[in-house]
Amino acid sequence: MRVGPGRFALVALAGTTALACSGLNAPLYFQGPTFEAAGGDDPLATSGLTLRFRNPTDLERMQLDDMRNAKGYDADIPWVPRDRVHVEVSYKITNLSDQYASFTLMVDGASEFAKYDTQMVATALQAGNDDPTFLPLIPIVPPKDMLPPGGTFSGIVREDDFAEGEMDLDALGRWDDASMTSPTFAGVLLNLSNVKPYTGMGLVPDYGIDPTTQQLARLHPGLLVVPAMIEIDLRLKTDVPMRCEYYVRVRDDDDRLLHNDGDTLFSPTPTLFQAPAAM
Amino acid sequence: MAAALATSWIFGGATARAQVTSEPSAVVFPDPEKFAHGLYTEGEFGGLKFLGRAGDELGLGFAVGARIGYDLTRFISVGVHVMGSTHQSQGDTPIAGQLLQMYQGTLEAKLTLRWVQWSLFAEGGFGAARMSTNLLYARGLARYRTGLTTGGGGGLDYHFLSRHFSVGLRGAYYVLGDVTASQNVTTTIYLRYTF
Repeated sequence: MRVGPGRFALVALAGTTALACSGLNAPLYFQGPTFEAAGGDDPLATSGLTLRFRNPTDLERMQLDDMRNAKGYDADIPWVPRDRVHVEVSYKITNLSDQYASFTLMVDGASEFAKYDTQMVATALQAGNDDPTFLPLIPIVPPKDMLPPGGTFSGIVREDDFAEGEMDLDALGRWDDASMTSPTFAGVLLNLSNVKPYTGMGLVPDYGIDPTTQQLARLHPGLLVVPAMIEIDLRLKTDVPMRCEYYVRVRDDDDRLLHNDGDTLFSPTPTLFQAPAAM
Repeated sequence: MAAALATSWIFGGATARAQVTSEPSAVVFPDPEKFAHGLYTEGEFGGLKFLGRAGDELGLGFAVGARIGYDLTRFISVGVHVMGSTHQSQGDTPIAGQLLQMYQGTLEAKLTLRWVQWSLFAEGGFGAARMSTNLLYARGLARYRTGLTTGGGGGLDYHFLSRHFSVGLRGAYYVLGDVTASQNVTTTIYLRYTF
């Protein structure tokens, strides 16, 4: 009996492939602190979770500097970018009351550069005794049917929802345009940033005035490196007692989450977005 | 006429008796001695179900595996086994419906009892199991994604008339040492090639 090297190679390849595949599609889950709303809360019931990333190595810092020079716009390249760190939230709402009720879930958070707080923005916008207006980074559409007593509703705030929210957060934090015709606040919160008329995106490097149409256009798609959210905050608005449980799911393409004892914690200090006060 | 009868009587019976020298042995077909033995490989697929705490969190999954081994004798063999399976998280939790893969690698020893083309076998081994995500950690069941595993099982093998190929059905039970109060059972069918 003679066993050719080809057969051995085939077996070895199969085994190696199986083990290598263990690194693909490997999200990490972080349980957020469960929180409860009493009903009619002011301020809204909230809970948050901050993801822990490692600091970049010297080589990685040099690469960020090189990228900044290559991009040509005068702003830092984020260490935790949206296209390499993908965030998703899975949540479950439980109606703790004895009556049918609905709810609104809102997602805010912070990147390494900017932080957005719906509650503070609502307070700034509130005029007199009017009900507060909430403009979250990521609004969640409530379920079509009201939750029965003791009933639950599970949902997912998807990666593409976060991608839009992260773009809006960066526009508000670093590229805020106070233009009266296309203001970043609250234009980016009310409109999708990747479809015309690109409301509020006037100062974002990807966008500019098209010389032929004289309108805002996406002239350089992909030029801006958008920071990912590293802090995720949930707020629950409801008229009856409800509980929210949630998990944050992260796909970390380049292994930037902190998990080695030898690495140090990345500790940015994002600037809180200040909404213009109500007139 | 008399001479012809005499010749027939004398030579006819005597010739026939002279050809039988002993009782013929029973023919065994196919002869198991002609089956290849030594280095072998197996490919398998089937299902894997978690038991215990992990069984509450993860559903039944599809499993594929491969094995390479060596028959030390007709009855004893040793081998290396790798298996991957994919599962969906379940239950009344926010992360129900998420996918998770488990990869197991074990060193095994196997005892075989053969009867012509059929054989029964029992096997056992130990190794490591690795989860593709930290989902069980998030659910409070495991501190690490990789842990030790040990267990065993058995099955039935049928050898084709080919010298090299056989197929079989096997079941196994493994304890997941680093997942709280959890085990898994697998049932697979396999194709074996002995070089």
